[in-house]
Amino acid sequence: MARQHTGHEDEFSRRQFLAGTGGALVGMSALGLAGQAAAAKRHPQRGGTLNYGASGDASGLDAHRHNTNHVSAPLSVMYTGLTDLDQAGNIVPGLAESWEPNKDLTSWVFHLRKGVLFHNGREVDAEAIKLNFERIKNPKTGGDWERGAIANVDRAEVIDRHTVRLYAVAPSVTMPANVMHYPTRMMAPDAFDTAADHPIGTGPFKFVSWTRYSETRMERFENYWETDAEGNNLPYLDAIIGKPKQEPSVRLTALRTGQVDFIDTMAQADITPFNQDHSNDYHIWEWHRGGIFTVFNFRNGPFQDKRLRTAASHAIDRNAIHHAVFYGHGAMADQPYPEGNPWHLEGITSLEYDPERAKAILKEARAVGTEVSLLCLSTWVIGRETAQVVQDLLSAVGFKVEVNLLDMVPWRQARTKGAFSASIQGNTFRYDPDDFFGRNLYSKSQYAKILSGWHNERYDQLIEEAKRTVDTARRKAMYTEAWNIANAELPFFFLHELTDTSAAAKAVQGYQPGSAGALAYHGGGLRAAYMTT
Amino acid sequence: MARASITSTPEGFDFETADLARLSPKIRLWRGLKEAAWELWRNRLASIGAAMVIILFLVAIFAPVLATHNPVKQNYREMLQTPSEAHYFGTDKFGRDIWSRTVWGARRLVIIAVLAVCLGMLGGIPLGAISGYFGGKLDAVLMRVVDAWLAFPGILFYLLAASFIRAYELSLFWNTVGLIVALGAARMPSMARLVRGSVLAEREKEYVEASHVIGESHLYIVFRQILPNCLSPVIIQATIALGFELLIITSLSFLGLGAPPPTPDWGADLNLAREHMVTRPYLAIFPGLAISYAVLGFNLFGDGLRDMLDPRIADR
Amino acid sequence: MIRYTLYRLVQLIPVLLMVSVFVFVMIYALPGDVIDALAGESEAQDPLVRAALEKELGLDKPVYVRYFVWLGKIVIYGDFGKSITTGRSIGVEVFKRIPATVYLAIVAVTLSLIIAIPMGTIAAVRRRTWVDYVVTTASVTGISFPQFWFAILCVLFFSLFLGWLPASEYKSPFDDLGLSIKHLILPASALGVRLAAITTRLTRSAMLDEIRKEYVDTARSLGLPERRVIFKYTLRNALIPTITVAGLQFGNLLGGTVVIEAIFAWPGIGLTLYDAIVSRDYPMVQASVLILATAFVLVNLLVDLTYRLLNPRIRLP
Repeated sequence: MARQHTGHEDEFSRRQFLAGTGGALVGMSALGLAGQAAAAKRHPQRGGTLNYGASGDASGLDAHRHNTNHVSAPLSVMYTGLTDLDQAGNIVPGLAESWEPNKDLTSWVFHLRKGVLFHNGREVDAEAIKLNFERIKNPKTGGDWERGAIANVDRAEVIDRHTVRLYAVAPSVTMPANVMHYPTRMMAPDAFDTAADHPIGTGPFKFVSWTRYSETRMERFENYWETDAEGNNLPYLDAIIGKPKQEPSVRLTALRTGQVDFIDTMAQADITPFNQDHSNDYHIWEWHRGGIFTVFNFRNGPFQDKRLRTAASHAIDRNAIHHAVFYGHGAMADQPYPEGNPWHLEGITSLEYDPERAKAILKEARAVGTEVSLLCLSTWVIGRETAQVVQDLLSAVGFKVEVNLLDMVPWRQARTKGAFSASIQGNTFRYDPDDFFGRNLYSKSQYAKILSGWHNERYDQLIEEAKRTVDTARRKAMYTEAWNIANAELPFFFLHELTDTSAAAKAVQGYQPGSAGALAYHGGGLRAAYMTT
Repeated sequence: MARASITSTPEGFDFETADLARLSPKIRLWRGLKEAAWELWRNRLASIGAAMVIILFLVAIFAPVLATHNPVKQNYREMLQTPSEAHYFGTDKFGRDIWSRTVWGARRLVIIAVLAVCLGMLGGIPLGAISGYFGGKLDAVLMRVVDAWLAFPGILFYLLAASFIRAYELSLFWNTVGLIVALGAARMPSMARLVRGSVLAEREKEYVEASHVIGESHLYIVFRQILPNCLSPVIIQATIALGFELLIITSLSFLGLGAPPPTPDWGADLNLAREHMVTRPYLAIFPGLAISYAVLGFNLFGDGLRDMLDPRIADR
Repeated sequence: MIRYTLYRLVQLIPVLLMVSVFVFVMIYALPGDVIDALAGESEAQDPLVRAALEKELGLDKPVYVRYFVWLGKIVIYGDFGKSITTGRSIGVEVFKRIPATVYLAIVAVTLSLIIAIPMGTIAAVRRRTWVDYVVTTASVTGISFPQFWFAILCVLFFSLFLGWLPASEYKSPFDDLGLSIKHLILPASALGVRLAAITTRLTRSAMLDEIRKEYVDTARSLGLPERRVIFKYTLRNALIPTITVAGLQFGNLLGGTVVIEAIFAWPGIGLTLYDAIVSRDYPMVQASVLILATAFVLVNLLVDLTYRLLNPRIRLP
């Protein structure tokens, strides 16, 4: 089981900001591939088809409309973005070789790599990039989440054939992270109209077919620009066939019977037994996915009263969740970034499990028996189970809790209307901290408005400043202060880390997930995987 | 046109007893014993069924007494335990006692199933009776409606209904009421069809004609005279329907459309148990057995009723 | 016969119309409306965006206009519209899915008949012996099992424990028959065993009915061997109701395989419909229900006609 630590993020970021020359960046690329070079020396065989047992099926092929999650959807390997990831989670060059902001961080110029082609042979030029951004920002063609991810991009401007400038709505250092392939995927403009049937991207694999619930076929894109340290063209695999198997036990069985060679997640309950019985026969990786937390609604409901929020937080025993829902995997957490990650904040205090104190507070506030409706998405198993534990814990101190499991559309409606007292919410790992601290809690963020709807002057100030701060140490200090405010005011009560475990047959070589589970990243992941028989 | 042929049988003629007369006393005795054993077995199955149903109702009624623990209280120190003296059926992943959950689950399930079938009868019987009795255009129209009703793909009707109910964020009570209404509505067309068939057969009979002549109102004839004679197939159907209703309810809960957690629910518990199929199969066995037990009881009882009330069925 | 067929076909039309009205109205009564499904969370509240989307989807017109437009498109052009979630043509999607369910249903029913007919016959012939008791008890138990439970137990036992059969995947029989059957066995058995239980009882009682008839004794007294009597005459007649019910079961299965498809990830119409309901993909739900209902009534009609063909004693009205 490999858990990668992100150690060198500071250095690389600063290098990029200083508008590194081609030399510095090439050097960096080589460094990024250093880990893979050892694998490359094993003479990877070109060819082979990977059968991928996926936990979900795509809901649609248009990448501007349907989120193709880069840690689980096979289709995600069809796309790359302006920037890319490395194994450790740093932002590295992708379709753009380099980029620099202007003095006050209100616009960024991206220098595109030359000779990169879309799957249909069209060259990736500044015009194409511009059209992509326009399409995503248009509510008719861009999906809600995708638009939210580039909410800070005002518009794109073509400078010359291979240079594009992105204007920011507000000064921000997050631009490079926002144009990575998660969340922003580039597609060929001349294929926009047929995107729902045959999407054209820039990634190492290109689309062949999609039969819903049955399979997704992709094959190697021969003109993919990336190479490994020895100059071999990536990717090595001939084709990837994604087979959606929603049932975790069915998926795991498919792996064990050889029907699939790779599964992206398995049920939490199966992890330990699988490790015990099969760690010699399969590769197993555990990786950080994000976090899970309780949201307290400030817009209506009983939790507008700080005493009740405090009582509820004291009532929650993270240990119970750790064992009942996660079977001891992952770590209890009081903040989104795990230990070892450069954005893990020091000196954070959060409320301890103290049911007696919770009961006392409720009694004092004459709020014993307060009715609470706990919202959760019905199809999210981990969330549901956590909601049940939280319900039990809150009921034990005197709340009257009803769990409200809603399907996707009514759930979104409930969030928008604020029709809940508290909810169980998750977050996926974000490569830039503003995507968590800003997006989820900054009062002017659209998303934050449908979560807790909390508003705090000082917090907003800190977030705005942190957005403009280049120096990571100073940024970190600001987020620390901000998160401490959040822990005092309790719009959120962070519960636990979300981890997942993926597994592959021994025949799959050269693969390692990104530190946050990315399936493909610069010089690695599925781009550098190969099959031995 | 019905043709007289060697394949037609005069009603009521019992070949078997006619056979017996020709055979020796010893064989007759043996046959007689077998007959008795069979009757006992058939009735035994029926009485076993009746007993099972009665036990089920008793468990549902006395759930608070029979349960050993609070069925919704979680206990993180006792998660996933195997069956033991303290926990007869073991504990689930939240440390809840499975025996208590099974016992309480019976209550909700039985209430919903009974009410749903009653609702189905309440709606279906008048519909079928009126359609069968008056016949003609009314019958044609009503039967088309029933056909359309039945053509609606089965479980999807329930799925739609359940999604509907859940989306309104209702309290547990209204949630349950909605489910009962949906199930009852789905049960009505088959009831209607059944009653219509019986009424059609009955209305040609003499006593109906006699009532007409006397001048009794149609309503009186249908509801006070014809229907009581049609009751037996309805009762049999209702009993068996109860069993199937249980299966439908648990299937819905299994798909996640039942009562919100942590209400004890056999289908939902089975769903939870899926994670642990390999490591802890007992988690899935008990709720599954409970469901099978309940449905089996109703089926056996229904069969037994059919034997008693409808002697023409060739299963002697 | 032809007249009767036409008469029944004509009667189908009002039935199907009613189904279409049912499904159209019911969907729009579902909370979590179309706009919310399409628009994002932030924009769903924006009245301008709502108005624009409404106009685009034709939702600003009253219900009955929308109904006729929808129905008209289907009947005249065969255009079922586009799915909200995938953006692809619904007709294409649904008709791609139907073969999987049909395949599963046919095999399940066939399997059930293979089990039920012999068992029912034996139980009838060896009436009141231990064979009969076993078969009767087994079939009653089989009917009482929850299908989804049985399915999971099957996967657990045959796939994981014994490792004989793969967990599941749809393979068209036209591509690779052997592999296709291998993948089909578990879901088809999960469905078929229950059907078999029902059919066994039916076969048994139908056979019992037949055996008691006069012609059987006549045949016996003519000196025909018992075997021939059973198989050539009795069974043939008893099979009529059996096959009829099998046909009806097939029709029921078309809409009733949701749970099995969900468990076995079988890409059939049931799973499609379930997903569409959960994600409020209204056009998809409406189209699928309509297609399924049509298939159901057509199958029923076919079964009915076949029954009348096989059974000359039935008087045609």
